[in-house]
Amino acid sequence: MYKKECIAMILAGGQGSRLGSLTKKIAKPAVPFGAKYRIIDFALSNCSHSGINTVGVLTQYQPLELNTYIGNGRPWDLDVSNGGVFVLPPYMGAEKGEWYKGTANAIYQNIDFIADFDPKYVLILSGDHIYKMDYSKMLKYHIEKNADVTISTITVPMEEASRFGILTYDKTGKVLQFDEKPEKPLSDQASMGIYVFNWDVLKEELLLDENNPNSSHDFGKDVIPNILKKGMRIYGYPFKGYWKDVGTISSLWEANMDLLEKDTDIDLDDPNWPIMARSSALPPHYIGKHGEVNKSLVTEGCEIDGLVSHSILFSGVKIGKGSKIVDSIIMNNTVIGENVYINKAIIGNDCVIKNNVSINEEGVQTPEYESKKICSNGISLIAPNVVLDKNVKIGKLSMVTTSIKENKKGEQLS
Amino acid sequence: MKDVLGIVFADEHTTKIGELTARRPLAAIPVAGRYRLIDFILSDMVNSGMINIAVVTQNNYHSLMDHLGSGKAWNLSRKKYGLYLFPPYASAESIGHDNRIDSLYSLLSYLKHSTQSYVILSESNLLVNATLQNAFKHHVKTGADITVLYETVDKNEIETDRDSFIYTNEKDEVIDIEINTNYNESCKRCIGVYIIDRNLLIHIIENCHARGKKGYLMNLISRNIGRLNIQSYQIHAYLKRIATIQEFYNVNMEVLDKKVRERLFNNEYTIYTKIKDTIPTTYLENAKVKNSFIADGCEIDGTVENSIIFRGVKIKKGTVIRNSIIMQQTEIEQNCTLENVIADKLVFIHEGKTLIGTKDFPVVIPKEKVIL
Repeated sequence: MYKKECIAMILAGGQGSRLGSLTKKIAKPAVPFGAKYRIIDFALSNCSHSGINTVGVLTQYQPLELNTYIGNGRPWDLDVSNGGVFVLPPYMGAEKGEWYKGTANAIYQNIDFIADFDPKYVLILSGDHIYKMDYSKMLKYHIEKNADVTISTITVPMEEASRFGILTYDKTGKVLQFDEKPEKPLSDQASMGIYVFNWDVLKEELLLDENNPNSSHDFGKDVIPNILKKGMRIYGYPFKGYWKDVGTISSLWEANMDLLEKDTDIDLDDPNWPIMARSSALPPHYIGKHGEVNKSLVTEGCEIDGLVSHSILFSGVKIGKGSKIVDSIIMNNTVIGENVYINKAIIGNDCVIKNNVSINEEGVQTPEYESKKICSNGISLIAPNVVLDKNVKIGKLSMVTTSIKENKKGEQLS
Repeated sequence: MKDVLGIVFADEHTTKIGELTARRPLAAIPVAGRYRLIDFILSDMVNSGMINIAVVTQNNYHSLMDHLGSGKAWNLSRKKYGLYLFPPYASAESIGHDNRIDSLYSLLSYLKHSTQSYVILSESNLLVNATLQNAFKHHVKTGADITVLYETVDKNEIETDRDSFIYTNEKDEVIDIEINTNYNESCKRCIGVYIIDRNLLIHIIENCHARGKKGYLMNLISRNIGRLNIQSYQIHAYLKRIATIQEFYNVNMEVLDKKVRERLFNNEYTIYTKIKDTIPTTYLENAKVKNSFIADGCEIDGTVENSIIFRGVKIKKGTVIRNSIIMQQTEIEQNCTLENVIADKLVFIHEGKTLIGTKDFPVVIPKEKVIL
C-alpha cells in the first residue's frame, strides 16, 4: 500500500434516532440537506479540499443507501488510484465478528485497514455535522504543537455547554481537563468530535481500551480521558465558523433555514470550497404561470405552480396550483397536489401529498400523530414515501410514519 | 447497440447563428438552461448503449474540449473505447481539412481499429431524445447498407435554406437526394444522421480520397443511389435542429411547454451534461418568477417571465426580464428591463438599462460584454 501522511476515518454508523422516521431506512449521514446535498457531503468535501484523499467511512446502521451514495467517491474527487474512499462495515473474522460497540471500537476493528496505509496521523471525523473546515490547518497545528492528540473545539453558549464534551486548556492550547457532558461546565469550549491522533498513539490506546472491561469504547467517554490521565500532550484547536450538529428535527430544520440567511457563514457558494455532492443530470426547474417563489432555495427537476416562501425544495419536487408552502423542507421527488397548505414541516422524499391536504395549519390538533419526543419547535414531520390522501389534515408537532387515507366522514384513518 | 460506433461532427460554424458561435462551435452553444447542444445527441448515443464515440472538431474547439473532458459525464471515460476527440490533423500531405471527407479520412486508422460493425454519423445540432435505438432497429431489419434519418416538414412553414431532402419510393428506399438546396418538392428533410456499415464507410472514404472527391453527402448518398440499399427512417420522437438564431430562440422557448419537457427530459433517458456542483438557486424577497425554466446557482430578486435562465445568473431587484434567454453567470443589476434578449455568458448589465428586441429579431449580447 501507499504510505500516507494522514488518512481520515469518518464515523457514519449512528442511527440518529432523534431524527425519528427520517432515519428509519437510512443512516443519519445520508439524510438529505440543503436542497441538493446529504449531510456527509460536508465531511467528504472538507477531506477532499484539505488534500486528504484516503478516507474510511465506518457504517453500521442502515448502510445501503449511504454505500450507494458514496460509491467510488467520484463526486468528491476521491476516485484516485493511490487512495480513495472505502466503506467499512463491521465484519466477521476468523475467530469472531461483532458490531461496532462504540466510536473507539469502530476504529479498533479497522486497525488493519489503517495499518495498510501506515499513516503518521489519523483524522477522526463525524459524518453528521454541517461545517466547512480545512483539516490541513488543524494537522499543521497538531504538528507545530508536537501533540499526541488534537481536538477541534467550538465556542458554545455557556448555558448549553453541559450538552457537550467540554475542554479546558491553557494559553498554549494544551488541554488541562476534559469533561463529557459536565453538569457544571468549566469553559465554553466544546469538542466537535474531530480528532487528529498520532497513529502510534491511537493504535496503542485503542488496544488498551479494547482490553479494558469497564470501557464503553467511546472516544469522548473513555479514550480521551485516559490519554489525558497519562499526561500525554492533548491540544485544543479552536475552530471559528459555522458548525452545527444536525442531530434533531429542530436543529436539522434550523440548519436548513440558516442557508436562507445571507449573513450566515455557511456560504455554500464559495468557489474555493464548494460542497460537492452526487447529483444526477436533471433538467433545470420550471416555475409555472401560477407559481411564486421567494426567500427559498430550489434545485433541478422541480416543477412549481404554487406559492413557495422561506422553504427548501430538493430535486424533482412538484407543487400544484393554489398550494402554499411556507417555512418548510420538501425532500426529493415528493409530489404535492393542488390547494395544499404546508407550514413549518419537513416532508421526506418520495411522498405524495394529494389535493387540499393541510399540514401544520393554525389551530389544527391531531394528538394521534403528535410526537413531542421527536418534533419540537412547532415542526411537523412526514416520513419518506408516505401518501396523504386528499383533505387529510395534520396538526403541529406531528410525526406521520404511514400513509393516511381520507375518511368520508371527515375523520382520518391510518 | 454496443456494436455501433458514433461519429459526431462538431465542425459547424454556421454564421447564421451569429455572435453565439463567434467563440465556440455550434455544438457547444448553451441550450435549455444547463446543457450544451452536443449533450443531446451524445446522450442519445450513450442511452442507446453505444460505447465508442468520436467527436470531430474543426476550429474554436476549446470550449467543446472543456465541456466534454474525458467523457466522464457521459460514462464514456472507459478502458476500452469511450470518447475520442479528433481535432484537425495536419500531416505531411495535408494541412488540416476543410471538408467532411478529409476529416473522415483522418479517422481512417481509428475506424479500422474499431471492431463495431456499424457506424452512426451525426450532426451535433440536434435536440433529440430516444431516437437512435429505433432507427438502428429499422436499419438492421431492412438489411440496409445505409439508412437516412429524416423528418417530415411542412414546406410552407419552414425556412428551407441549405437543407437536404430525400425522395423515396413505396418501399421507403431512397431514390433521390437534393443537397443544400433552397428549392425542393420533397417534404422529407434529412436531419443529418446516417447509419452505415463500418467497412462500407471505410471503402467509401478510401475511394473518395483516391479520386480526390470532396462532397460529403454527394459521395455518401448520391453516388450510391441505385448501387446500394439505401433506406429511409422517419423520426417520430421529439426532434429540433438549431441552425439559425431564430431556431435557437424558438427551441429554447419551447421547453417552457410541459409537453416538450416531458418528451425531451424523459426520466428513462437522462440528458447527460458536465456536472458542476452548482449550488441551488436562491430566490430572494422580491423575486417574481412566472413560466420560466431556471438552472441552479442563480440568485433572483427581480421579475422573470417566459424566460430561460442558465446557471449562476444574478438578477437584481427591480429588474424585469421577459421572453429572454440569459446564459450562465450573466449579471443584471437593478432596475433593468430586458425583453426578447439573448444574453451570452458572463455578460454584465449595469443599473437601469433597457434592451428590447422582438420575437422575430431578438437582441443578442455577445459573451463577456459589459453594458455600461
